[in-house]
Amino acid sequence: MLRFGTLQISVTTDKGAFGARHSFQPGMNIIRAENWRGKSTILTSMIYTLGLEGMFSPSQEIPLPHVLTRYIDQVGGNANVTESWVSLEITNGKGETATVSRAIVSSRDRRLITVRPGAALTDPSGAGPSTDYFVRIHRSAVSDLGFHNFLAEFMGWSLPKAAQFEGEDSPLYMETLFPLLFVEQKLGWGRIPARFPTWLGVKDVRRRTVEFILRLDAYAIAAEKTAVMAELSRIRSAWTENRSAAGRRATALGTILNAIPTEPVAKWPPEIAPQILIASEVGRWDQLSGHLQRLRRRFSELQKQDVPTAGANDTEVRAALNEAENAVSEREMVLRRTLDNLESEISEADAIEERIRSLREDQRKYKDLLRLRELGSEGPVAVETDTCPTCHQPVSDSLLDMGKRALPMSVEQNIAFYNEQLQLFEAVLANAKAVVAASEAQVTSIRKELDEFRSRVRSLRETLTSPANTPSIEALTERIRLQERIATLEGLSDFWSEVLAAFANLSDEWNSAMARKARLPKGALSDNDEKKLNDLQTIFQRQLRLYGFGSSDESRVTISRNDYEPELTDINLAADSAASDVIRLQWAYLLGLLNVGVLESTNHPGFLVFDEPQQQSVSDANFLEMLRFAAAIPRSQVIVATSHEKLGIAALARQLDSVHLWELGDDRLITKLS
Amino acid sequence: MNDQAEASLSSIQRPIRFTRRPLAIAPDFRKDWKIALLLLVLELSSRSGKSSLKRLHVIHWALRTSNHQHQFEETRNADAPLFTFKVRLEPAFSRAIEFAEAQKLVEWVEGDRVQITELGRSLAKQITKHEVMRDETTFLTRIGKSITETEAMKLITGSRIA
Repeated sequence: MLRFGTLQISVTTDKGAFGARHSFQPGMNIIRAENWRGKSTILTSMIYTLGLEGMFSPSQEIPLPHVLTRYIDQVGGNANVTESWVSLEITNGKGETATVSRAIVSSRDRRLITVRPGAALTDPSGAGPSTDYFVRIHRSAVSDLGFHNFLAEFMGWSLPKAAQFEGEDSPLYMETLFPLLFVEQKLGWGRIPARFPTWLGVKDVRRRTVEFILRLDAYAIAAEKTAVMAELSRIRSAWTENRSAAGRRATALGTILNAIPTEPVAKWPPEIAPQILIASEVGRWDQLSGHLQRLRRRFSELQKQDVPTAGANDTEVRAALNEAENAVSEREMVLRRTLDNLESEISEADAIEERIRSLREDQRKYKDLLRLRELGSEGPVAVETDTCPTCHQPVSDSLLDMGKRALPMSVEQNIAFYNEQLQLFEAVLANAKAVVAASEAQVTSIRKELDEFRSRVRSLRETLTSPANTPSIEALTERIRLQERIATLEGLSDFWSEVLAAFANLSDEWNSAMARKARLPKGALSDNDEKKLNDLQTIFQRQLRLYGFGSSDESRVTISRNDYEPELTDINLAADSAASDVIRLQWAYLLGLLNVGVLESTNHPGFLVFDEPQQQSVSDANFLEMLRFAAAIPRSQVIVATSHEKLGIAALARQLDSVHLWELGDDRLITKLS
Repeated sequence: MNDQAEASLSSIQRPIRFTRRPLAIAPDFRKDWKIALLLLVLELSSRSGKSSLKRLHVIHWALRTSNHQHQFEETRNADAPLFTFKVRLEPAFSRAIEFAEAQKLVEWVEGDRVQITELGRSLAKQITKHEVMRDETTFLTRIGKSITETEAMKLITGSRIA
């Protein structure tokens, strides 16, 4: 909640002190004056004090007239402004009061706002020490020293995040909320429900603001939806990342991964347990653990034996050399064949990728085509597709000569058809890629084997030529080779357990994210939201009746459940209504928000400011009716500035207790202080 | 037909019926797609919404797929030999022009030129305003109205000399 108390404008000039001071009351406050007396100055300076002028435009200029910035017209020459300030007392729902001051013309930075706890204007002795906050610079909405952060906290608002058109989310800026609470005279009227600042780049600003003001669950639901979607996509990309990192490392060591699901799964381990396979002999794949065990066994067998001397078994060594040389030439042949295979597999995968690309392009075109047809059905021009424009006979929706009987699919059928094709080809591509990866692993493993056999040939030859009593080089190198291989594969095995643990974690997270997704309500609104919107609609329609809304039967004007704006069954209200009816709609909507706001549990601060609401020659009777309605809203503060004829307003003020009239008459707002 | 087949056919109780299934066709061959392309070419890439038929065919062929667009631009910027971009005169496009003319979206002027009508222009405006066919409009906006009749002829004949 927020209430305005005393406003004080102080201007120091070279001809003495000037100023104005007024205390706003709870209930209805009417400021009445002839034109040019400074009504708008009062209201704009309130906005200025709160650092909210950004709701009008991105300009850093002071939005106040020259009496506060340059000079005051005086009989006998202008009084030049040397310094000016504006201060405002505000009270929140807990009954705490604070006094907010901001310099207009001063040596002090205008981006600083001074806050003193207590009513420093009316009761200076009770006020606490002052604190400076900043506004209108980067981060002033979120920083602890930002004034809007202070103001939001003071009002009991916790500003939600809002999506931006570009870049990261921002808070739902105060400047976007105040247009629903403060209608400025020159540009504020004539937009339903309000004129929102676009320069802040907040997406969906019209919906987000009403959702926040009425504290609709829709907001939380939408936020939760976004969060869940973001979470799901984060897990999905972590999954893919983990999967491909593991795949890269596995392939580099001549092994392949098998049966890791491409998409996150909620159940881990999956039915078919993921495994890592290693090419033991050409064409055969072993489980890593089994393979590793065999290598270890062989190694420990060797460990138990003494290293034979070079001359010990000459014939055996010769036979082994022969065998190793044969193995080298055989492996070379196999390698060539495998490389050939790999090449054709890669080109097959490329062809499939090309096909998918062109399917995607066609699919994109079909989506555009659908939009095109929508435009045709909404807009003034539609392209005939089913009948001949000349002879009006039915013709096929195709430019190809398809023969008389062939019938093309409808666009929707065609899109579905492409979707299926895409799914199919993507599956085929995934398979082709797996085949390529397996072949690559095979190539690596054959190369490794080849190296081993070559080094074996080398060491056997060295064994044959070395002195007979030295240890057999071949026997030694085999031991070293085995040891190295075991170390590498153990490293891979450890890595593999880490990978599996990561997948298990991701799977858990996926599970809970999916559960969150399942908990989301089907529609966008909760039951509570429905009630608030219904009440808003009722109050809104009642007002339209009171204000003499003439463009259509007011019971047909409803509040959209989509964007919470008034709508008239499929008709653009703003375009279809008389200018004066647009004003009536705006009154009814904003007062409706206020009324629902104070009666139900919402974020509405319970005040509304209208600057010169009698626009577009709405009749006097309707205008007074609006004031009466506004004055009857309980627990609220409404401030209206008007140049409406004096007697009518005075009569109204006499009739209604809650109306507080500030009659400026012919006086100027800023007067010389004695 | 042998006896066994005969027997098994006659054992089917229901009459056999054949249904003609609709065929999938590429979006390029939908009438309104091609007509929309034609209007965009005239609106975005032709001086006073008017162009010769062969020039329309050249631009249409360049516009058809992202590959064509790429090849066309490479050829134009003379990074690639002229034969990289091979123009085909697509009959479907000619048919689309006829349909568009019958619907008063374009008209023939000066004997051999096609010009967009007010009606056609309002449709083209709607397409660009609602950002439908973004890839196509981006390409056409990029090449602008700079392709001359002479250049189009060069691209068709595949020779650098006009």
